[in-house]
Amino acid sequence: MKDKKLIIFLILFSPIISWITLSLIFGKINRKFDELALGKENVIVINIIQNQEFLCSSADNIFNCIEFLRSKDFKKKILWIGNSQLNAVNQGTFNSKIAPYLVSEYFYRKNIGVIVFAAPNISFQEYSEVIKYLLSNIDLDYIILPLVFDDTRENDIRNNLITKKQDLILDKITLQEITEKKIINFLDKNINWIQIRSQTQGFIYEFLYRFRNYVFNISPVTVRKSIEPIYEKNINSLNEVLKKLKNNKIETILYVAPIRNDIKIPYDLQEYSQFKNKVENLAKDFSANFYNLENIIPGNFWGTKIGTKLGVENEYDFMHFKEEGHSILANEMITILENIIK
Amino acid sequence: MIFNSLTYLIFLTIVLYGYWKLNRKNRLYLIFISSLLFYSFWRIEFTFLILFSVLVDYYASIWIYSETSKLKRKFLLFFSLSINFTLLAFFKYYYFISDNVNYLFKIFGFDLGLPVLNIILPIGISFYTFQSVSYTIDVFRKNIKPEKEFILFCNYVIFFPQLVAGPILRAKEIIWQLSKKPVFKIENLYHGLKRVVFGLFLKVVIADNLAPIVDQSFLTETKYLSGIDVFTISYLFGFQIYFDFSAYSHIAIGTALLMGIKFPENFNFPYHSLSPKEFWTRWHITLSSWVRDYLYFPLTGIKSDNISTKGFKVIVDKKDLAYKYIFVLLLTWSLMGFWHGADWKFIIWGLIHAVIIIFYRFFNKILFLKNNKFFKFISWAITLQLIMLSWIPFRAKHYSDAFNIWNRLFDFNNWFQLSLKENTYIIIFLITLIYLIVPFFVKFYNKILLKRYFIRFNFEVLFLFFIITMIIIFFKVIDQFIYFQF
Repeated sequence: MKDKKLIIFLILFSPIISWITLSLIFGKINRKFDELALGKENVIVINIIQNQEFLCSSADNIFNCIEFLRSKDFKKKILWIGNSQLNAVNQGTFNSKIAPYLVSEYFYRKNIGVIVFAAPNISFQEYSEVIKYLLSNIDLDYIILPLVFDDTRENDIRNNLITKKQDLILDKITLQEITEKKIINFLDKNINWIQIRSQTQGFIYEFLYRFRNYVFNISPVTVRKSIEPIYEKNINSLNEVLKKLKNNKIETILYVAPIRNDIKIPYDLQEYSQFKNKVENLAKDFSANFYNLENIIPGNFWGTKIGTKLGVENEYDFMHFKEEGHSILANEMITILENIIK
Repeated sequence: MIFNSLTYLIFLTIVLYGYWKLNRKNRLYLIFISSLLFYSFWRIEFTFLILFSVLVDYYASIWIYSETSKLKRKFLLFFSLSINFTLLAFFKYYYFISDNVNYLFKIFGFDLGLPVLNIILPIGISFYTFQSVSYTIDVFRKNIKPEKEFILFCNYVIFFPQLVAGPILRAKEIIWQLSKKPVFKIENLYHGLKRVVFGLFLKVVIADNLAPIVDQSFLTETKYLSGIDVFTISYLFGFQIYFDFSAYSHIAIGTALLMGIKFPENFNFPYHSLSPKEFWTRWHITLSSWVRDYLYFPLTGIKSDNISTKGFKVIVDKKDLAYKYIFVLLLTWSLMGFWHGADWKFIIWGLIHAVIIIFYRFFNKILFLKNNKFFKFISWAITLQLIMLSWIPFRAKHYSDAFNIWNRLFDFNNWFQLSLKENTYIIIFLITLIYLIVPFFVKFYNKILLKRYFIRFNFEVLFLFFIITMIIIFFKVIDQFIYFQF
């Protein structure tokens, strides 16, 4: 009986003990699980132009990008959308200059507005969602779409990409939602309820991810086969996006994204080659501009990242290059855009 | 109100405080008001619908019991059942009926033009209708006396822990418990809290994390699915619905126990069943026993004086392969499916279970190795695959999708091709493995650890601390329980 009383006491008080423990461990960390694959060697850079954000990555800041384009009477408006290759710098610092900044800054002086939406592992299905959302808010003249073969394995459409979580709750106005939102707001204000929990969730998912990689011996050099139905879905989405942009008379620039080329790439080469042919043909079908930039960054401008499996220190990074690589990509993109815009 | 919400935890704390402080009369009023409040957190207007249903059954049952004329008694029963089922039919089945009737007439060249209204389905209507109906029938059969205290009867129907998704309670099990003065036992508090915490863990940590994987997997175009994918997605949904629904039952049973009230169990490791028949004594036990007592028995003419809430175990012996029984079984199960939702896919799901049981009855008779361990293993393995595959129509968007998915099982050339994300296979493998190991662990725990106080106590403390921490981390309020839609 005594131990039962003690267990009841523990059940009633363990939420408090748990919360104190979680707050102490995760209260000061601010890292998204989505950014896990980047590793410590990569830095997410947020450059700004004229005190304004031109680069956004989720529903939290997408409106800043819209505001950027509205803030000035730009003669042309450009959207560059892609994965973390755009805003992460390998071996970089928070002051590193990323390709989107160099391009946006260059064209800002010519009164051409360039905004960038960069989200880790963004799929073509998500391209479609983001573009749909942005086009309902602003007019665009050009859209730049990098094509990353690895991202055709992504099937989720993240619900925080263009819609804030709180908005989702507000959709249904039952008494339950109202009280729940009030309680959560109260907890968030006083004990940082949302952030600590999301940090902890990130930690758990990261541990499971690394543990899986350890058990199955998965590393960045492991060849990842394409998943046919997901690949098809993404290609269909890209097809839809291109169709829509053509109908809206928005000029599209498609490019095969740079990949580390000094070691064997982690793709099935036949599948990768088919992918490149496919997107090139799609570009032709919808009169989009197509460029293959996969080899523009030399091997020495790529780096390593912290191991994505337990007990492994460093691994090759195939997706994120150093600041010099960003400079090369920016120059390439400026040349491409100059040719198209004139 | 949903159980997996902070609102509910606050609500429950306040109700429990009042419940143990008040005298009988006020306690009954507290249950009444808190149950209505619990329901109105979803939509206040539908509380009147429940109250109307309760009023009808309350007066009808008293009248039925006091009436001596057989004909009048039958008429009154018919009247009460008609009102209950008309409400259920209107709110739950109107769309289905009008849509199908319009379609049928169109085939013969008539445009009937029944309006297809989008009616909001009142949460839990199927559950409280069945509960109410069982009460009236029990009074009609003179298995129980009608409850004269209105508030008590009302609380039996609307008692908040079971209001929206069961367990479906019988009057003789619950009314006396609500009526008597509850005796506070530390034992009940201990087990009640553990059930609530465990239920929240199953819902918030397991079922809700499985949900997006299930959603993504079922979005895969059918033509890409291989045999192994079909099994994977059916196992995924099979486990999701099990964890989701059993979680609700755990929380409901635990909440009632905190008030000193014992609910019947609703689940008992259903996927360990050795036969389809056994499955229905372990899965949604209170529904299957309801269907047995109020549908199957009356339709077959079997008389049973032992009406209880223990699963769908029917002893029919010699006659059980007679056409009449087969027909009744098919009818009963299609109605069971239809109870789950107004869609052909649910009827198909029910019929599949009927067919599986008929086959089982047939093969069970000709096999003689029943007690052999190997045979038991084979029986379990076959039963599990059939039960899991039968979930496909339950989750598919349309019944035709279900047939297309099943069809993929026969594409033997690509049977082992993997079309889902790699993690999906790893997750379902681990869940299945853990689920299968748990009963053996429980056996070991009870046999060995239970006697070693120090180990048991520390294990329990650590386990509870772990699952409470997990609940806090993964708590998500917008995810409803799957069974709310039924």
